[in-house]
Amino acid sequence: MKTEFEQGVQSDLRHSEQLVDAERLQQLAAFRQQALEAMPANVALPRHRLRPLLWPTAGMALASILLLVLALPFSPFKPTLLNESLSDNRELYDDLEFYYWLAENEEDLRG
Amino acid sequence: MDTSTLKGGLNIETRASHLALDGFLASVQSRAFAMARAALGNADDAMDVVQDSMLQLVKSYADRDVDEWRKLFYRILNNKINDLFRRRQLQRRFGALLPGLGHQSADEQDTAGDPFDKIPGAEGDPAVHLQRERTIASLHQQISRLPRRQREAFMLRCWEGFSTIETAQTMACSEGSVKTHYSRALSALRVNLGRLGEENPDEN
Repeated sequence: MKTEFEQGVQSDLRHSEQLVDAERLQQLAAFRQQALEAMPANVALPRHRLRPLLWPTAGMALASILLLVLALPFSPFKPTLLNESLSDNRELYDDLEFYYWLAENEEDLRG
Repeated sequence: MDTSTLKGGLNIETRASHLALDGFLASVQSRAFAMARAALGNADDAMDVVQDSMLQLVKSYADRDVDEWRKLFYRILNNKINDLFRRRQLQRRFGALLPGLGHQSADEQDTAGDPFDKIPGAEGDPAVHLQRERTIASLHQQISRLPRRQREAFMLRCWEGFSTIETAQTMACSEGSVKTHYSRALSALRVNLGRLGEENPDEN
C-alpha cells in the first residue's frame, strides 16, 4: 500500500506526462512508425504463444492414452465411461492436430 | 487463396503483431519520454532515448509475449538512460582535460529553465497550475540526482506502478534489492523535497 507521499508524487509525475506538447507527441508518433517499419518480417504472436502450449499438451495427451491402453484390460469402469474418456482424449488429439497444422502452416508461410 | 495473407504481403499474425506493438508503444510513449526527461534533465536527449528504446524493442522483442513487452521496454529505456549518463561522464572527464569539449553538456540540465512544454489554454487556476509545475520540476530535478539503481527502482515502482516482483524482473535483481533501493530513493526525495520547501517557503 502506498503512503500519502508516494501517492502525491505518483500523481504529480503522471500529471507531468500530460504536459508534453503537440509537436513532441507528433515526433513520438513518428518514432513509433519508424520503429514498426523496422519490425522483422513474419513476426507472429500466436506462434510464440503456441510453443509453450504445444509440448505439455502433447505430453499430457500421450500420457493419458498410454494410461488408458494399459488400464483398459483391468478397468472396472463401464464401457460408457470409457467411451467418454476416449472422447475427451479424442478432443485433445483434435486440438493437437490443429496446433501442429497451425505451426506447420506458419513455417510454410515463412519458408 | 491463402486466407492468412493480407493485402500488402503481411500475413494475419504479422499484422496482428504490428497493431499490438503500435498500441503498446502508444500507451507508453508519453510516460517513457517524461521519465527519460526527468532522469536526464534534457528533453532532446529524452526523445533520442525513447526513439532508440522503441526501435530496440521492435527489432529484438517483437515476437515476445505481449505481457513481457512492458518490462522489456522499461529495461531497455533504463539501459539507454544509463548509457547516456556514462557518455556524459566521459564528456565531462575529457572536457576537463580538453577545454572546448566540456561545454557540450552545458545545456543538459534544462529542467529548471524550461521544465515543461506548456499546454496552450490549460484549464484551472493558473496559480495552482504554476505551483504544480514547480513541484514537478523540483521532483524531476531530485530524481535526476538519485543514484542510478535508486532512480530505476523509484521510476518503476512509484511512477510506472510495477510491483516489487515486476521491478525486480525489470532491473534484473532480487526483490530485497528493489525494496532497499526504493526505500532509500523515497527517503532521499522526502528529505530533499522537504528541504527545497523550507528554502522556498513562498513556493509551497
